[in-house]
Amino acid sequence: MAAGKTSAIKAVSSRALDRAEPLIRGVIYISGWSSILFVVAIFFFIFKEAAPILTKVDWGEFFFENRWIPNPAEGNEANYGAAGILYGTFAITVVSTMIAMPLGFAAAVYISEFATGKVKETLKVLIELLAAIPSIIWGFIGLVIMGPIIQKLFDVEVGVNLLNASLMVAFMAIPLIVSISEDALRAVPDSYREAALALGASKWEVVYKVLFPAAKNGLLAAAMLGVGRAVGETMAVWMASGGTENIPGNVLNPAILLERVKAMTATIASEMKDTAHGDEHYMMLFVIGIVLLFICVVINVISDLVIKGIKKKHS
Amino acid sequence: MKTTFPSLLTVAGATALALSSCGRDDDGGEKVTIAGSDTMLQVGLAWQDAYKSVASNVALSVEGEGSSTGFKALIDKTAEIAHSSRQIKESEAEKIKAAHNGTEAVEHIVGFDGIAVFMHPDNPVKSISVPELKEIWAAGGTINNWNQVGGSDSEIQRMGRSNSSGTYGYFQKAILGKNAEGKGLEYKPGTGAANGSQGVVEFCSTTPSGIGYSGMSYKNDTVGWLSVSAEKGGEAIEPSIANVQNKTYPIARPLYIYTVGEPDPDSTVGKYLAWIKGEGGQEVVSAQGFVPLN
Repeated sequence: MAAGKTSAIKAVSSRALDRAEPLIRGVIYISGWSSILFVVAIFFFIFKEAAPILTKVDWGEFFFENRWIPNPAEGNEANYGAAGILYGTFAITVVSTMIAMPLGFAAAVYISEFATGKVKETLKVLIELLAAIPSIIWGFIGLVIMGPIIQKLFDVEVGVNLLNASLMVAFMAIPLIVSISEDALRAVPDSYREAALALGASKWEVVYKVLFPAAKNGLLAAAMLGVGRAVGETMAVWMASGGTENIPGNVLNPAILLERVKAMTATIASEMKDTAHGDEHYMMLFVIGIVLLFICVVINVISDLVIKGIKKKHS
Repeated sequence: MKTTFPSLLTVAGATALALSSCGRDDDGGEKVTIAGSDTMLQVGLAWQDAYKSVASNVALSVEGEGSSTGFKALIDKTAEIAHSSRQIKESEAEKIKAAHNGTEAVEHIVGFDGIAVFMHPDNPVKSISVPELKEIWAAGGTINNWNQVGGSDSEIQRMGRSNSSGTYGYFQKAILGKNAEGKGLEYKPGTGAANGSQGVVEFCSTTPSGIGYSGMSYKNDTVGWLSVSAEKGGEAIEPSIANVQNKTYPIARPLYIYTVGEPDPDSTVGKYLAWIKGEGGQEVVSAQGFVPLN
């Protein structure tokens, strides 16, 4: 019954579309450019907020002293030595990457090369589910569940520390690493696997000697994005790290894993809300923001270049 | 399209309603903007809620980002009332005077906040003195182990608040105090900054050798708190509403409201302040876990 009507509507709507096309094209055009606009605007905003202080920052103090006292007691000068905070972010990033990378790669290899059928599908869904857990939940798990476990396991007083925060961040980075490295492994043509197996390689040798080298760039990109995740993570790190700027005397001593640390993101999040817009402390938090943004951009650009490298290779 | 169109209509309708209600406020009622302390945000919102039944024509807008932002709003004339958990700084008072042709900021005390020193419930230490607290928290202080204050042999783990919180500033001024040269003391390096008052309590409840400070109202069954004596060997006073009111508990701060000039008792702001200091407002203060004036 509706055949005639539908075609009439089609005709009308196609004429309407013809007229609307320049408009639609404009909207799409703007949408495309808007993301670039947003990035530029974010850079502009962050630099604008910190601008008045950028020329006055004592960079030597900022990078090498561990005295972050923006609200000093009466009669004292404010100190902006962020070394302890920079160390916190650095340490959490390194430790969490060391945990997440092997686990993530192993899981990706299992899913892509060994698991089949239902197991494979279930695992993929579960890992995507893991990625959907909000960071405050991870922070809560760190505080309430992992903290007491670490206390008992290592017989230490404080359960919120570098190890706890790194574990939480690693759990958050793992799904990201798994899904990207699994894509990279799947992108390796089957002929490689068949050739290696035909030459008598074991399954492990196929993975280790053929797939890893072939998917090298994708795996690297996965690791880099995991690192980016660790650098930028705020809430879980804030709750699980113990919030204390400690720089250890000996970086190689494993006991530093059980020390409390404080990250750049957590510092900004915890201090920003009580600072008056435009005062020195406020601007110094934006300086931390600039450093953080810089690190994230560098990591992203590198992983982007690496991913581009893969595409070129395959085309 | 079928589903989105009615929902668009709903949005439009809601917007129109919101706009019309705004208009009514502007025509008949009075608007008062309140800015300032994050500590006082909850009590401020509760005042706002309770005041609706007292004077329904007054529209209160309450913001709470930090005590400094309240004074800045008075200077910028974007608010009539500032909440603060600390006393006004001289520089802020001068700026307010300059911005308002010589009219000075006026301080109103509307309640008290007792700061409790929390520890693990199993900690055998039950009381402590202010000088001992200073040695525990201040940079250069000599007490680093619970056995120095009658506890077991374990290093004291300190957890404080973020350095821009009013509680951090108050505890620093009240407990750490000044050195011989009259300069204020900073916190000992390695002092943690928890995610809010709740974070301090959480830390103390899970860390056997932990110590932390926060508002009295954050006490729950999972943590213990220390009775505090002003002097070493003096009588240790438990943090309680009665002890804060009779001023025997040594770590309590007033909750302040600041206005520009003494408000006219018949003005909207004047009536609101009188209500806050009266029975209705003070009931809200104690319901929010703070200590009322009397």
